[in-house]
Amino acid sequence: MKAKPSRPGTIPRRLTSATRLLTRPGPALLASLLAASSLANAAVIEAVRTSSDAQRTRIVLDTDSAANYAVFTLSNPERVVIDIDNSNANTLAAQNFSGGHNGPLTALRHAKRGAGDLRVVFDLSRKVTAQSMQLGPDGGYGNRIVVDLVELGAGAGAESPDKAPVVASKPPARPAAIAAGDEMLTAPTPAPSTITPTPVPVQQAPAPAVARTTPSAALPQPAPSSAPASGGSGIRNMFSRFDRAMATFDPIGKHVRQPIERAVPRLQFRGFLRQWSDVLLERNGPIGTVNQDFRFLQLQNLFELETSYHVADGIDIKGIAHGLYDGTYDWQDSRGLYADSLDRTAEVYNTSERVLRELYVSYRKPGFDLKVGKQQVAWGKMDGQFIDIVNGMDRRESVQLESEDYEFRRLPTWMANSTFYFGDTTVQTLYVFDFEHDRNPLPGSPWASPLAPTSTTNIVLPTDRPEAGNFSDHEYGIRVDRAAGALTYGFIYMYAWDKNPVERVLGTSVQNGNTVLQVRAEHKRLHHAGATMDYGMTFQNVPVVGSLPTVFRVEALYTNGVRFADFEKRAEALAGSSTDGMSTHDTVRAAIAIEFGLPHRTTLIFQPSWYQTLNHKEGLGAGFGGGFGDEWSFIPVVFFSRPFAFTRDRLNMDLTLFPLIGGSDSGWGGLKTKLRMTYKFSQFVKGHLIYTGYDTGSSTDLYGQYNQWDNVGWELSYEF
Amino acid sequence: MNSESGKGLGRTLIYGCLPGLLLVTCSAFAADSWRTVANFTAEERALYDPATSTPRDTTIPYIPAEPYPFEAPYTAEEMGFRQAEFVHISRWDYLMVDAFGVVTSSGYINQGASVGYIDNPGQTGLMGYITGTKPGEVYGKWAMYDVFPPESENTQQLWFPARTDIENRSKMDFFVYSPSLRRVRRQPEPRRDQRFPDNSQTFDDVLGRDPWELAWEVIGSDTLYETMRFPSTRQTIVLNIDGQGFVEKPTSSIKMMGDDCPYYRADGGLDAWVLKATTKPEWLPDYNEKYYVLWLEKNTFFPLRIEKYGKDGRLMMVEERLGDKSNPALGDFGYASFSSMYWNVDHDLIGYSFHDGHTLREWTDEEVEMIFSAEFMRREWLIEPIKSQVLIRDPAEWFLRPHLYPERFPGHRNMTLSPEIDARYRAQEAAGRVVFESGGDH
Repeated sequence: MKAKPSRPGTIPRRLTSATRLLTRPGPALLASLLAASSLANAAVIEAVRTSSDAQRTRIVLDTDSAANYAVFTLSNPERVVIDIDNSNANTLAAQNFSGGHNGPLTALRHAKRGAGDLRVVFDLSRKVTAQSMQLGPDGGYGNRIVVDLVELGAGAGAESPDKAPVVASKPPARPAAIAAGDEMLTAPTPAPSTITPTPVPVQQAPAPAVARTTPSAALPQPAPSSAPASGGSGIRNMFSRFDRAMATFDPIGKHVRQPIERAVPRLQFRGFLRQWSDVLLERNGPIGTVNQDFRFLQLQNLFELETSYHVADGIDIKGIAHGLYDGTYDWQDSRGLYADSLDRTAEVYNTSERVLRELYVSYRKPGFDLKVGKQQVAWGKMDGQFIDIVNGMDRRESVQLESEDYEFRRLPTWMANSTFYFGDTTVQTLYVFDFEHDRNPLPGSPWASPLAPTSTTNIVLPTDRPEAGNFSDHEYGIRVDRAAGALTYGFIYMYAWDKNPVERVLGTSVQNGNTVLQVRAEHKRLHHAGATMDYGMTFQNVPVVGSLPTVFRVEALYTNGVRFADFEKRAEALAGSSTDGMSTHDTVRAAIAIEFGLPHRTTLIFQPSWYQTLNHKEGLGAGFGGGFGDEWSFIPVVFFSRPFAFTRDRLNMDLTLFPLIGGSDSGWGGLKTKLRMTYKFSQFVKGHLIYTGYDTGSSTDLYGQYNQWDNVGWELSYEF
Repeated sequence: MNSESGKGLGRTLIYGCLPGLLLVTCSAFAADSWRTVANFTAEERALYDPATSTPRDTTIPYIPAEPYPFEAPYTAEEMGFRQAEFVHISRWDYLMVDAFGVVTSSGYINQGASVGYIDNPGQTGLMGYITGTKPGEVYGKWAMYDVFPPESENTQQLWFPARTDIENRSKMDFFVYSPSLRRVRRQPEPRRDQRFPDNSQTFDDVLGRDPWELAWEVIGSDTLYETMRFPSTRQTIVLNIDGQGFVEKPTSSIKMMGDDCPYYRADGGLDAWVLKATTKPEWLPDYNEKYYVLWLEKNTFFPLRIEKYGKDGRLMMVEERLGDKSNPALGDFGYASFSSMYWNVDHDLIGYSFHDGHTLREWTDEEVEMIFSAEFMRREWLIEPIKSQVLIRDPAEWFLRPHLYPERFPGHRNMTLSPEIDARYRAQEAAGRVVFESGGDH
């Protein structure tokens, strides 16, 4: 908004310190020159036009230049007054309006005020409110002063221009001293300063290319509005104010990130704050080996900081740190929750291993990448984990660990990761010299399986894990990807450790007269070979939806040498046979995903997923990649997602169904249902409301065991 | 017009009568800014060929036989082809940062910024698209690297747009890299007439509609004095200009087609043809949009304003552009839409897309091989960062809803707004800045 220029005509009435200078004898010449200059630019009223509809009447004064003016209404009788500084109305004639489309207008009068100002008065038949604006030349029209007379009760929108003080003119508070005939044209006495309405500043002078205003404003609008510009509803108004406040809410970005990045141009700095809470719908007490005397499954607060420093061309250092606190163990009174006493990281990340999540140096050349350090590598294209086998996972949420959580639940490990680029083909090699095993729900944690025994009579020796210092314990992997038109495909091989140890029977002992097993959990070597592929196409002329963009994804992993706990053999061991209590089988897990792009920004994915233990036999425990407690398991996942246009897509709903079927013994294994509503509060803040239910299936099934873990969760995240 | 005799007559009219016509034209424009075809000036009649059926190309039957870029007088179809030169992503090789966003009527804003690397191999321009690529083949490679908002940082997209015809309708092969998933995925191509989530732009607003998918009609001429409007609350803008770096410019100094355009009238306006383009059902079955009204700058045919109407005839969207001669070597074909605004009238969404830091670039074979491949995205390597400061900090600084011009071409245009939107529009016009449901005050 440009400062309103001083006008000589206003000086006597506004004795500001600045204008007083102009009244002194010394600057009098300057003042008179200014006055002359201004008068030379007097705004001449060239025409008056009016139009009217049921709710408002528009008066348009066509002027030959921009003007300083003020608009206000007076009562007894009702009038609207337009004071125009430094103007004349040579072409303006008094006139009477009679009915028709003139709304409340009954007559037009005008007279000079003071030295060169003009007052135009419209007599009205009834009380109205007045709004005004000034428009610049446009579309064949010149400068215009537009006054809208809005019928009382025509809606709050009639008041809306008071939200727009740039050009809107509000009638001044009218002191009681003002007589009814203050604007009487026959006696153009300068109005006392006390009743001079605040002049409306001249709208910013329109530049040729911008800031022009539409001539349509001077014409009857096609859709006369009774609706308020500002919504009219208090709730909408409140939400709107909230939205506008949230739009600029980025305190860490503004006050931390930006200053740091300005100070250290080579440094990139970002992160997020996230709060997750899940609460059980019911507290169910003892269930299997779990005492479900708690409500909150998680009250997690995660803070991530990611920094990246550009050392030199092609060389960067990246670090990611996490701080996590889960209030589940502190903020509710529960005897069933005690995992924090077994492993403190269940409650808070208090070890450097957990806090320093990733730290690696990368070296890049056009055809080559090398990353050395602690990092995570995600292989594959599918939702879920099929060839995503490189890193261990923190599976503290058990069956409620979702694909979008993998980024924060993978356990980065130290490795050298190199990739070679040969046109459409890439070759990645991994040399993993550290090992991270999976972290499964601990006894006494919210997601501890009710099927898991909390104690054993066996003699359990410390777990034997691969060691970083032992060259023979290191892991190796290779991945090859290739693109060929609409088809991309890839293959992986990894010589790795099973992320979960299996108990090996070392022998038996007699304790208190009973024979017990002596066991040690051990990780075993696995050979993984996998493939991934995707293909895109668009079906045409599909009924209802017309075109149907579709992508097919396929992923499969064959694993050789998976050890399973074999309960038949363990029984034989107890009976005195010489056996390690394990069986070795190969497994296959695979999925096909078909993703459809439906109308209204709707996505539908159907992803049948298969898990098979080859040469299966009865009495096997869990093993990598195989069926869940059975020979095979089948989960035909259905995912549906769409935003709601009435929220301008800020609200999104997605529904995922995970039905489980097992064979050859178990049959129906239960249904997991996840319904999530996501709402974007701003560019930086997002919230989720999630219902997750576990239904049907027996208490020994993967989902069935959690039948009484139905929960509602909310998540709030701020990214900066 | 395609016959030689027709061309000859046209040229005679143009060159023989031009001085007199100019006088007539000037006086006519002074009187009014828009005219229907029936009221065309003599100059306009000389430049416009009303023929609706012209000879076809022998190899590509859906394009005119007359060699592109055609000669005056122009048929409506020829103008339609010429405007197709100026799609949202220019038809040459360059890099830029695309700052984009939308504001809702409540004041919620959603913005993004992506560094874009554009490779359009082969012949540049519309003819490169039409004749340089066979239907079904990929004609470009566009890599977009998100740098804002924080949630999207390092997200990348790779677009392989394809030349289409009635048999080959798939517009694009499309990959996304999500850093939160750490995965590169092929995605279903977006539906053409569907706006992007949380945005007012549709896929076809970005990719452009082929001129042969529309039936063209000239409905008049007009003069525009402004297109994309800055609010009074945004007096300056910092642009990243190739070779100059960040330059702060008064928003009032930004012209509709840049400073170098020679076609401004003395009063600053740009004369435009006004065309109506109706979707052909056989080419665009089940398409959500029925017709468009376009204001094309008279000399270059650069679209200054595009209105979109639905099947029920309602106004769906208004797009306005600021152009710039970003590729001077191409002359009148070198204009780029360096900034566009998209007002989705259905939802009162005001969107924009600002192509800042436009830099012409010849990609080496090595770069093409490296950058424009899906697996490259996994490297999270922003090889050539370009910065921009055009993102809008506050909803109060948002671009204004565009003009309505309800009195112009009333037989073809329906400017009816819902009462609420109309009220906000009026309040905006009074305020000089966007007015939200909670008003326009700070």
